Amino acid sequence: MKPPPFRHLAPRSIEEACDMLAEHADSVRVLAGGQSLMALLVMRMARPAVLVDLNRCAGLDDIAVEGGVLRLGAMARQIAVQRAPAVAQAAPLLAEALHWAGPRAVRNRGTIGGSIAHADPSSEACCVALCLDARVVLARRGGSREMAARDFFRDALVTAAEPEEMVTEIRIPVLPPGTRCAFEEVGVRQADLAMAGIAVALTPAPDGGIAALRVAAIGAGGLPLRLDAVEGALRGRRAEPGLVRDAVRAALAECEPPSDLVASAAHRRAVLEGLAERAILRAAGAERAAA
Amino acid sequence: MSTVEITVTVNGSSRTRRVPDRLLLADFLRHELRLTGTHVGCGHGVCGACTVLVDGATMRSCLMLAVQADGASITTVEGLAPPGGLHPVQQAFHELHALQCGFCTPGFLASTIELLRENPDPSETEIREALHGNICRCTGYVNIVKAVRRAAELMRAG
Amino acid sequence: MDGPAPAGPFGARLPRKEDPRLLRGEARFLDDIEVPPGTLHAVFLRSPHAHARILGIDASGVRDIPGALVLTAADLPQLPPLRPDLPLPGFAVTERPLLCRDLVRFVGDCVAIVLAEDAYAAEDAAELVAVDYEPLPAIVTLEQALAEGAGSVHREAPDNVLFRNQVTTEGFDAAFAAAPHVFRETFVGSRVATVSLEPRGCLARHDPGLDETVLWSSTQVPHLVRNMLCEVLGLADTAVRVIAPDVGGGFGVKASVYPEEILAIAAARLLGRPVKWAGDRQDDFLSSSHARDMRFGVEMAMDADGVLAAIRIDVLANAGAYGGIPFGSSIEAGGGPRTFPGPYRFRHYAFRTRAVATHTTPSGPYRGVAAPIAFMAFEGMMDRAAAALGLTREEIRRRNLLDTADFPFVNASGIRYDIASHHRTLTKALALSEWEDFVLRRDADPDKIRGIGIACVTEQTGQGSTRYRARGLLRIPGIEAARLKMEPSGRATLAVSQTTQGQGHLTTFAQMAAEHLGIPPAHITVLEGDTAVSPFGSGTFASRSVVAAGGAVITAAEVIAKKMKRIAGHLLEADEADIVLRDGRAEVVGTGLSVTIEEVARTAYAMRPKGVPPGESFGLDTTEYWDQPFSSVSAAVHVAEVSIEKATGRVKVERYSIVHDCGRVVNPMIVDGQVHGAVVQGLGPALMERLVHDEHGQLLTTTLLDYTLPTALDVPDIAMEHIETPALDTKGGVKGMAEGGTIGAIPVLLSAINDALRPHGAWIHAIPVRAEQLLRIIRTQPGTPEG
Repeated sequence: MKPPPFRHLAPRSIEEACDMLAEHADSVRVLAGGQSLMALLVMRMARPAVLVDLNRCAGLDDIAVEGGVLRLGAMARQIAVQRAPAVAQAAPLLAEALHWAGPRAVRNRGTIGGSIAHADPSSEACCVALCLDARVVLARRGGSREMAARDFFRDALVTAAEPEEMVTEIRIPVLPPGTRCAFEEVGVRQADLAMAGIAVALTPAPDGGIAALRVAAIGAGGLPLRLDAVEGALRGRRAEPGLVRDAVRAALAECEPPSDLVASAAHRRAVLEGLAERAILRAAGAERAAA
Repeated sequence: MSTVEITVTVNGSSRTRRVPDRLLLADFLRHELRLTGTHVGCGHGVCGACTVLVDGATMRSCLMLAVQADGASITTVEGLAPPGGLHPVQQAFHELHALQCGFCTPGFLASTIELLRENPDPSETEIREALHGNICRCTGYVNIVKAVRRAAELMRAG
Repeated sequence: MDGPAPAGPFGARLPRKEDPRLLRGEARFLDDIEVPPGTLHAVFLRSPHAHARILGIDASGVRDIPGALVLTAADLPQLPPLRPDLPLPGFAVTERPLLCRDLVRFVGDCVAIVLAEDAYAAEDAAELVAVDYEPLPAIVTLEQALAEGAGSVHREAPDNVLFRNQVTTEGFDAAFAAAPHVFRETFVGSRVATVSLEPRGCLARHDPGLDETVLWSSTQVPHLVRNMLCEVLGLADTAVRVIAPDVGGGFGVKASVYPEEILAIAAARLLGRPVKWAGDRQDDFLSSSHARDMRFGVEMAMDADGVLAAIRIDVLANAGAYGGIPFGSSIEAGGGPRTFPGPYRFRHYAFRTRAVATHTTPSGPYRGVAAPIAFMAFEGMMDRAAAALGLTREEIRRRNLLDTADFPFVNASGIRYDIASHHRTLTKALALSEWEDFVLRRDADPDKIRGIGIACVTEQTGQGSTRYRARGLLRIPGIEAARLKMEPSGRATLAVSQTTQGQGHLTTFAQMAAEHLGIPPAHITVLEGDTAVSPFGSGTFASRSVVAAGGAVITAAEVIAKKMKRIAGHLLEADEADIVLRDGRAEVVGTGLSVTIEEVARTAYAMRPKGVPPGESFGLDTTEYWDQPFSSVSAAVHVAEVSIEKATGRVKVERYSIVHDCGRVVNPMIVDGQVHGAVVQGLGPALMERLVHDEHGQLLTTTLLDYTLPTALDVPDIAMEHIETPALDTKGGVKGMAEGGTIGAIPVLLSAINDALRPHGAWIHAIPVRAEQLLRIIRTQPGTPEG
């Protein structure tokens, strides 16, 4: 378990980093917190000729709300995001979800941008990014582009980023006033890689119904994904257990959860039903019916 | 193979070495600096045995490169107490038999020190949450949890 | 009766002598040893196929790595294969090549040694060795191996049965036929890895000038490794030294001799340079022994009152691709039926057992060996029988547990029990766990269903030479030894034929000796793990240390104490029978007359005005051997409460209680710690740990992300009480105890889960119990309405 040979480059600025990426685009990986990539390297499952290490790159770790948008620098550590007042105010769902993102030592080093760029199927950050309609900012030599998280994630561990691009920022629209969030996940152990997870952001209407609802799931497909059908079915309705359960079940019936060593598709679906119901009702502030 | 000169403050002393780009921080500490108290149990960032304090925060030294520690201040198990002494956390682990083979212990000490710095009086649940990234195969965690509470007492008293 | 309250060091909760250096990072595990100059770092190139012919090996690519070189079987033609040749009826002798020449038999089989200047370069070089394989069909499971026309893993065992045994006690058939109730079920264990946190590794050095070969190895059995090195490499045992440095956990997985240890020495001698191999986690998953891929078919016959009449079992163990050294391929298949009878009174017993070869990693000893699965089967059947007969689970056990009047008792598999307090242990465990009040807790949380379980278990420990001979294990002497040497200062060194992987030997043995020598444990330095320092013995496994080596320690301490009393009597002009040794002095009872132990010691070494008594030899130095005549059998009752989350099927262990009886306890703190750890090594396999192969025999779980070990969040606090029923058959009244926690945890957790599922009419007989299975039961088999 030793990494293969590579050249380690440590750019000081985004421009320098982009130049390096462009120059080595045929075999390069961006190294952020390294909590996934380093493990792939020591197992020699990734073998880039060049690592562009962003840990000394200036201007990538800001966390701030500007113009109704929470802006998270790609190199903001998960622990910093989890604890930032701006996140608590603008996107508390993210803070709640990141609590599950691994043991403390992993969150101390792991970054929000790294999580998004890695696009792991069990990633809490990716799930929340989808749920909250986050946008991903990508820089390359001479320019940058911004895209919806929904378009950025392509498949497990595959994104829309080109080899010469790097994620510089995650932008999350500040949640509408009164929006309530809930995050639930389970793995094999009490704290583990997520086998199934649910992120919910629910904006109540003045009459107590659901004005807006956003739901994303880990384990419903090969990647975290939005459960649009749940959102459609419940918008404008009241969060009542039977209704929620039916909506969730119907939405999950359309999904294709993976079957693997951890769980079968059927089990993921069954667990997600329970988690989604619990999370939506919690976000709605509704008392759950006796089981 | 490309190499880089780095300077790292380890347990209070500044150490300068030329290292290969790919050298892992764990190997740098263990084999370059001969600080072998930091152990590698899995090598892929799960077991937590190699956890050290980098600028005060716990990190997996098997998932960092030595070059990334250039300019950082690192505390390993060898630096927790003055020579011949025991840090209150070490003392509590000793008193309450919170180690058996001792291989995982340095990682648990680092995680405990970080926990108690932020939370001087943690509950049992908070302790278990703070330590869930460290695997111990010997103790069943029972005495480790007790030792962390004892360490908290010692530190609050001291 | 309970043991006496500790007056001296024996029985004290003494913090461990080994701790400070471990806590300060000063310990030296294998990979911490500073390597000699010129050391080559080894990587073992392992087969990626479960079964394949080797058509060719091309190592020319490693030329690209400066200093790298490759050794294959062709480079070490004189190396014979390992040949576990147990002289047992039903044992098929097969061979294991140290480096595969023509055929590989599991994913992980060694094909070549790749050596380079550092571990990074060695991995680089290993990638450049091209091996041409012709994949062959793989036999992975027990069913496949036993199927008609399955093919053979070894031609010496055409039906793939490496070991078989069958026993029927006299009168069995009649007793079985006469019983009104017969309960039948098959219980299936999970294949597990031990995962000692420190992987295996070794460092080999040969000094041709001194003709000395030294191997540092992360092993539990340095003497057995030395013997095997000599046997295979044709070396004199006087010229080979094996040292176990600090070892980061063993639990049985390091009690076998492995090819890498022999190959490292062979390479070092061939190349004239030291060779180091620090195995990594993936090496460990692939090549360190697996365990407990077992099944038990049980037929339990009972009379109308729930009293056991006769039991028949059929045991299968997946032995993997090769037998091991020293335990052969019979350890699990042999151990299953041997441990099965447990604390119960029944005489009619029939079993058939088979060890089966497959193209998977060889199986070997792991904490409790087969016993956790044996008790899962036995206790699982007791729960089934209780339910069928309308008895409570505690009552059916009371009707069958051995009573004080039954002892000494020879059980149906021929194991002698000297004494135990099973009924009292059970009663105390029910009280400790608040068993009676569980009804109040059962429905406390509407989101969960909850169950409580019970398991009564025994643990066979401290086996001596007779037992190992009977098992055909002639490479295991079964004896242990201690050399006690009191120095002129009155301090002592105690070299024991053992080695410690965290069990606290340096403290425990010092406490055992101190009781007799009248000096504090702090003045006794225990030395272990070095064949040049330790007297010859077997090693640390099968909970043998405190019994087998402890017997030697106590004997040696008695011998030295006697001699000190003779010398002190001579100095004080008193009868040696009136001398007591305590608090650093030898005193004449009731007179106030005394001399220091140091004075006695200096006299023994001829450094005082007065000499030794006439006819007395000089020195205070003795080596004593101990052979434990019978196994010593510890007992425990475990009670566990679990909850199952209705939404997810996830199990949480809510409460856990143990009442434990291992005779006299030397150091309660160490004993408790051993039990805690053992429980969690049962909790993991019961709830989350399993090794999984695909249909081609590829191991899919080779990282700690896939192979999920319990963390602090998965484990409850453990309440524990001791009953001390002093052993009659051992020195000091002690019994071994390091495996019972695992043996109890698997059955008790299954019992608790099955209790939770009772309203759903389901029983589970296989581990790990998975959330998936539970959720399906909860959802598809609705329970009876509550209340």
